[in-house]
Amino acid sequence: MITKATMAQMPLSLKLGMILTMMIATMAFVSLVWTPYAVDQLNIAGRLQPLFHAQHWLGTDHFGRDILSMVMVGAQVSIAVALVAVGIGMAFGVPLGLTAAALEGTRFDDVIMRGNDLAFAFPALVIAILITAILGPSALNAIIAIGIFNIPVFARVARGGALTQWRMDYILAARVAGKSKTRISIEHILPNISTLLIVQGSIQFSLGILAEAGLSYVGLGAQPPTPSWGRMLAESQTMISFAPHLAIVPGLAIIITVLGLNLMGDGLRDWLDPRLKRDQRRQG
Amino acid sequence: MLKFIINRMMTLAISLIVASLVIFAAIELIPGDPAAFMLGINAAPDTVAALRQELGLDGHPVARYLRWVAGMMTGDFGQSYTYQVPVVDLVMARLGISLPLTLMALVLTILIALPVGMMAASKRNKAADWGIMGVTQLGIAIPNFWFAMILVLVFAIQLQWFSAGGFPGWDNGLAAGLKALVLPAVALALPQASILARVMRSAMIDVLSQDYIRTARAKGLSEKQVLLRHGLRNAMIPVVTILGLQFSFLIAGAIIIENVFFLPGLGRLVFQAITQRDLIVVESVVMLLVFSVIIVTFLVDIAYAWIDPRLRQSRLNLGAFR
Amino acid sequence: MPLLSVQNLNVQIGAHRVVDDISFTIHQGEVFGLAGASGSGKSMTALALMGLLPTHGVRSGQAVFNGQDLIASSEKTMQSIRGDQISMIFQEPMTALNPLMSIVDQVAEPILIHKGGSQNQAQDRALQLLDRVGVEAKSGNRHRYPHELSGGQRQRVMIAQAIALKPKLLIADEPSTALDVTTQAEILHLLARLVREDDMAMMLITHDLAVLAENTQNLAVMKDGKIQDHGITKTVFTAKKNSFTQSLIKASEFKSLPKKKPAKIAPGLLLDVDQIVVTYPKANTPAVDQVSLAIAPQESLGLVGGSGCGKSTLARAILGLEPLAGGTISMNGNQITAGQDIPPSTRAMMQIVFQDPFGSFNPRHRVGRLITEPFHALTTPPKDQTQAIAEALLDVGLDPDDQHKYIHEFSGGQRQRLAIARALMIKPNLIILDEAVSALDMVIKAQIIELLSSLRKKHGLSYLFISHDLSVIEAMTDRVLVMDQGQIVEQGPTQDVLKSPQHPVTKTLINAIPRIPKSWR
Repeated sequence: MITKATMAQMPLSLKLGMILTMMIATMAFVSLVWTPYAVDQLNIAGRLQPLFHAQHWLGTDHFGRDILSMVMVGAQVSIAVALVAVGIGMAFGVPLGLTAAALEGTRFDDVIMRGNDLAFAFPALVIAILITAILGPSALNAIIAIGIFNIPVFARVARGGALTQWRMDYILAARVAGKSKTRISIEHILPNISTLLIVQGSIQFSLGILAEAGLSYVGLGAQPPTPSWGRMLAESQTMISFAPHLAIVPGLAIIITVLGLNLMGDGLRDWLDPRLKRDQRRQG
Repeated sequence: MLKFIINRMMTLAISLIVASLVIFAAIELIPGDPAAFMLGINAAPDTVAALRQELGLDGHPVARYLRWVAGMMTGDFGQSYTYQVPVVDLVMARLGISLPLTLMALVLTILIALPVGMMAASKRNKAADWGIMGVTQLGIAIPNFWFAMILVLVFAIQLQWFSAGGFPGWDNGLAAGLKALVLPAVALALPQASILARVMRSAMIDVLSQDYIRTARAKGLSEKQVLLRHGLRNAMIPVVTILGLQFSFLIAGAIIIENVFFLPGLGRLVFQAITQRDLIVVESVVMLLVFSVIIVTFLVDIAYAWIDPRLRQSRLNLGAFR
Repeated sequence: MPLLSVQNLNVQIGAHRVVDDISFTIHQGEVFGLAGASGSGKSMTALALMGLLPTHGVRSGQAVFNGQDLIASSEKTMQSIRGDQISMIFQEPMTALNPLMSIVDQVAEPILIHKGGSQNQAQDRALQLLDRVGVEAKSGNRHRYPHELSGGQRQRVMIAQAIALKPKLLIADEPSTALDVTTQAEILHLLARLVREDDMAMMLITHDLAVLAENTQNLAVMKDGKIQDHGITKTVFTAKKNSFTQSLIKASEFKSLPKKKPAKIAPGLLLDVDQIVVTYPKANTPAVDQVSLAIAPQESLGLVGGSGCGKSTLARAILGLEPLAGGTISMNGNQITAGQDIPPSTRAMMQIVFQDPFGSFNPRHRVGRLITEPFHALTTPPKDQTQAIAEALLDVGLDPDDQHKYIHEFSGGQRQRLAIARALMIKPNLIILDEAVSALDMVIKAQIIELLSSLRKKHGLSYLFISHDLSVIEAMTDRVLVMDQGQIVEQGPTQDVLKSPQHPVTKTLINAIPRIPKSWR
């Protein structure tokens, strides 16, 4: 439970990260029901309006589309892609890691770990290139590519955390009570590595935002007319000398999101970890 | 040590085989008929058949896979459908830009990150540390291609110190070539250097709290001697791990960054190949990228063993001591 | 003229005064003991003298060593003294050596730093030193690294680098505490020999009064940063002036225990282990090799042996957690078969208490849930468990309201009580106590042993008491087995085995125990 007292103990980075993340998330939610202008509303006469324009606070692009509206809708895409990709990574990676840890030293564990090492040889972009080459570009393919990339990351973190727990005597106590390895994994191991997983989740979330931006920048992500931060940057590139705000605004949106998530992850680790570690330190 | 290297080389070989199988399956088996795919929906059946033969697609998948692998080993990656030239020529020319770019970025990353990280660790919780931590936190959050665009805006368009893009070719002198790669390399290196500097800092702080550091102090070593003789080498273990992972990010980043600077590297080649449905080129470039990441992982493993004597013996089965 | 004269030394860490106005002297060639429980300030005293306090530590007072005040000296001067004039050995041999540097280089380092000279000369000298402390420095054709050595050997390397330059004063902070009892004795003998041969003074810091009784000429006893008792070692023990010292001595001897009366053991057989073998993959010899043992109802059986002798593996095999490569185990006549699930009725007859009071509980659950976990072993767990929880907590001397707390709210001793409560929960017939009191302070250890004795009487329990600590075995068990390299080498009634051991392993174990001389009691 988050009480006032625990709020006060939160590190500054966690608070700041939560504020930034909430800001972007709110923006994405609001855009579901309302944006200042429709994102497909072209207005060639009012194109390339500068920042702080009376009607278009963040200006307009070369088709006269409202940049604020596009950034808001773009947040939806970025967050959705990164979040679902984290979900894919956790849904497949965590059970794999937990199973490998429960069967430590067996052939299964060996195969999982070797497969994991190999999976790291395929960066998200390379997976995306492969998928796009076959299926063509789309936001869904970006999700799959980033999701696949996340699986070995979570498998490794879950296995590492779980192995530490398996060495603890309380696990032996549960086995003496006759509990199965599956039940122990779910009842004891998973809750005790949840901090690790949440922290890793926030890191992968922010990496996912960056990866999505990169993929849509090179045209392997969300396709027109869906606005996305990466493609806005790609389109702004030829106009950067006379309309730099077209590049700066979506860039800042990415930076704020990633910064927020990273600060939140770091803060969470600082906030949750010492409570778990304090016990162990007392032994010394 | 020799046993360790042989062991690692076995892993390397297996990794390469499995990776090539995955790529082959993805490109040549999943989409159905690659020839029809490459020609599009409206191609005449006999054109497709001709292309099938030209690409050598009629054989059994196993035979095709073996031919593909054998070809790669002898430097024959097949023929590009759109360019009508051997893929190996295309790739080699583009590699002449992508490889130096990645290496330059790697060197920059190391040169920036290690001193900055050590400085932050030694000034822990002081102003310099807070400043470095803030800047690197921001550095991690910046997408490299956006940073590249800002660099172009400032250094090419405003200050006109560098050209905004393109590549003069190595024929016009080493200096001109390198100069064209400076901005892309900086854009690539900054986010990775931010990550590595933070790793260096926390590794150093962690090592300095270890018991053996206290032992070294009790022997009468000065702070500097403690740091250089005992601290640095131990701190390098996590740093090397991260550096190995970063290489794959640098390679992927280079492919994207090339688009910002209109560099005719592997990135440009592969994206054009995707739009032109030139699967043979895509396949070869992807294999090359994965190959290089696997090789670097192998080198990192060797570097570990060089740093850490505990790894030089072939792996103990620690599970047995549970 | 003393070698070291400490006057009114104070150490402050943050707002906390950890060493409070202490004074003592050490003479050339003397072994001086500093005793006290953990947190009494004895280690901080040593670090203050070395100038190695944590960054936020502040020291004041005077410590004149060889005519020079260590407290007033600059860091530069201290660097020239450390490792040359004064050396220090720490408690944790596993972490105190640099894992990436060969042991020869680590021993050669103080020579290179203080005397210069070539790398080769320093290494040659280091090899001689390692030879002197009994460590083989080479394996195959290259130097060895710390991970290739056992804990005892690593501590010898630490000693070699500490005495490399024949310091005038050697500070040894719990040098043998982390080691098992035989190795502990070897390390202490080595230190005593080196001190004598090189005419060094040694400041020996430990919580173990028996170690100090055997090794020191003078000692000081610390509590809460202050020196409580001080003087010639024999006088401190025999004068019985200081009540705090007396309480420590009492605790270390388990004098508080009622003298053992012959236990009444019910007839019959509870646990029957017959010729069992446990092997680990990739190990050359079985961890447990054809071991047989039997426990009668209400009997307390001891199992002793050095670390790595296989005693914990044996315990896990009895609990059905290790597959057997041979032999049989039966509990109350029901066979426990390797590789098969133990039937709940049999499983419910056994429970275990572990050594580490910190790792024995899931930190995320409340006490009520933690100690009721064994109910899982019952086919029909009771509907209302509150009564059972309250009873178990009262049984081990805790409050029934404690069930709502989390584990981090308890001290080490209390946690061990909770572990016992958990074991009692389903009223087992046999409790395996795997080094259950080894991690505890002397005083708390004595309390837990008393608790275990009374619980045994109250509930008619059998114990399998596993320990490396013979004094605990003596206090707790009727019969004892001695284990070495996976095999039982000696067994018999506890009093007989301890009084007249037959097997060399048992003799070594018994002789290794530091004792306060009988005449001092």
